[in-house]
Amino acid sequence: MSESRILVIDADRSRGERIGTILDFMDLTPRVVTDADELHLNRHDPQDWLAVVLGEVTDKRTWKAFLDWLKRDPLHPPVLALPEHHLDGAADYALNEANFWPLDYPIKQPQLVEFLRRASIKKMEEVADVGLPKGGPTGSSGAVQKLRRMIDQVASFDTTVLILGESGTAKEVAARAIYERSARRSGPFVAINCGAIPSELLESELFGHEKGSFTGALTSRKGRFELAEGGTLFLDEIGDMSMPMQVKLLRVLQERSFERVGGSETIRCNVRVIAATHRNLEEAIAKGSFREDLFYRLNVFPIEMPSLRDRREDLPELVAALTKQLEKSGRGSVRLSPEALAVLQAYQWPGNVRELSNLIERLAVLHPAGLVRARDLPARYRDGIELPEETELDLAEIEPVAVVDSLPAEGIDLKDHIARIEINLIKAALDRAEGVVAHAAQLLGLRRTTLVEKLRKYGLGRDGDINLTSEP
Amino acid sequence: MNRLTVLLVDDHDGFLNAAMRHFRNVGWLEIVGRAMNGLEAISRTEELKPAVVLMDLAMPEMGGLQATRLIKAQTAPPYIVIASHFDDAEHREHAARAGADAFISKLNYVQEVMPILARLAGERGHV
Repeated sequence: MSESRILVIDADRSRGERIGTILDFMDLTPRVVTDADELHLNRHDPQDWLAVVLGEVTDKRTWKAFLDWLKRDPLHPPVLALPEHHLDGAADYALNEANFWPLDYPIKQPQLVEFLRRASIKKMEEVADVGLPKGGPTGSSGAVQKLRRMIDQVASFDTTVLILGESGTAKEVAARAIYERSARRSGPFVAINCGAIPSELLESELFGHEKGSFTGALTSRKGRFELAEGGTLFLDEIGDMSMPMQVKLLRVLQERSFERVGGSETIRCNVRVIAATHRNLEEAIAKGSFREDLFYRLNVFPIEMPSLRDRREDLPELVAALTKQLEKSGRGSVRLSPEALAVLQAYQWPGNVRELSNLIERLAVLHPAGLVRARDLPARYRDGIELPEETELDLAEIEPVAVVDSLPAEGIDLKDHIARIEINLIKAALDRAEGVVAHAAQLLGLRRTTLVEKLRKYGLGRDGDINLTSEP
Repeated sequence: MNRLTVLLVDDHDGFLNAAMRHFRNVGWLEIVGRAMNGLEAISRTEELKPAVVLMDLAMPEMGGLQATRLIKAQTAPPYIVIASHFDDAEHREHAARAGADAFISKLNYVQEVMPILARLAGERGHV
């Protein structure tokens, strides 16, 4: 998808063009059509657009074809419907209300900007990392058992918790586990990464702002403390917070009240705070970059997250959990050979569980449905290790897959199945073309570069398992 | 002296060309390649080993956030700057979560990216 591409379908040509001009002025890339049949849908994917602006429809047949095409993608972009559809458009077109956003006309730019911003956030959430399975830390090592005991111990009390530990140790997983086991679990869980937001914006993000309180504050807005009312607020990377913001946070923790930026009304809040940082706060206090009084206010119940290298025995369980998460979210799958797993267990994991999660996702993308051997791992995981002899069970020996055209009773992993069909056909074409990629591409109706990309994606042709020739 | 090597990633040709025109005049920078989606960015990064990747947030096939996560799993990964049309807390948090080292607004691309590149070039002794 592109965050800047917007599709406008409106039989009212002049209105469509006006909306297109507004989008142009906003530095976006509109495509304006009067009817859906002007689009070559077979050359597009719904994700090519950030949003679809829907105006007057004259040809019901082509519109239905477009809708069917759009709805085939459950994560399709939102439809921004112009006023003639506001009343019953979602029901008429059987569109999920969550993806049907009524847009005013004449266009109000702040509303349009906000819709597109939300569409972009929705898209990012859909492709965000799958993270770790819900329900708390994964593993059965002594370190994880101790961690679980601490989470259970503190969850039911309303005390502030400070989670410490190296980057990537899944501090948010621990924070969520505390929340899920607490009496506040029916309230919201709101997270904010204090290190990712410039200090001048952080105050308004935490406490909200009133309309006109600064340039760009076109409407009043709730901050995360208000959004977390009755629930839990997770303040990640608290060690990166500026000193002036630390003062403001301290006041909320002491007085349980705050004012929005530009506001005079004092707002009371009922929020449990869980803070986390990878920094050594005592050192930061000594250096003068962290307030001692805030530290003591936060450090009521500290939890130290174990590093992955201190609980290597959990690695197979973590790999299994991460793979299951990937499969569940339809992002493919991957299998690691026992030797690859052994290599990973010997690694130092400076980036901890986050690094492992990224690695598993990378392997699933680059070796879809394949077996990853120790030698397929990126070099840094193999440094200084003599690679073991491995069982040859790679893609070159992948079992021929039975093509199914009806859904088996137990369901199917569609992505995996399609990948296997694709691999088999590519291998057959390469065999017939005696390894000449350009000829094999012709047999498959692909461009040579597309086939090369697929070979790379599936890891075919490496290690001499298929003999390739780039030119005929 | 070696120049700071950069890979440009964006799905808009026009945007890539405009960026190239600007960067061409910067003596200490070398644009070593370009990619038009996340998958291409991963393979170009492996092949060209740039010091910096300037990554569009949203692209077809694979977007900049997933590509950033996967590139960061590479050996000696580059410094990654995410460029986004929308600049707000949520977009910045997603970029940070994906492992990006910096975030810039596409509406203010050159003004925001140049100080970052200049700092990196200075730290690495390219200027």
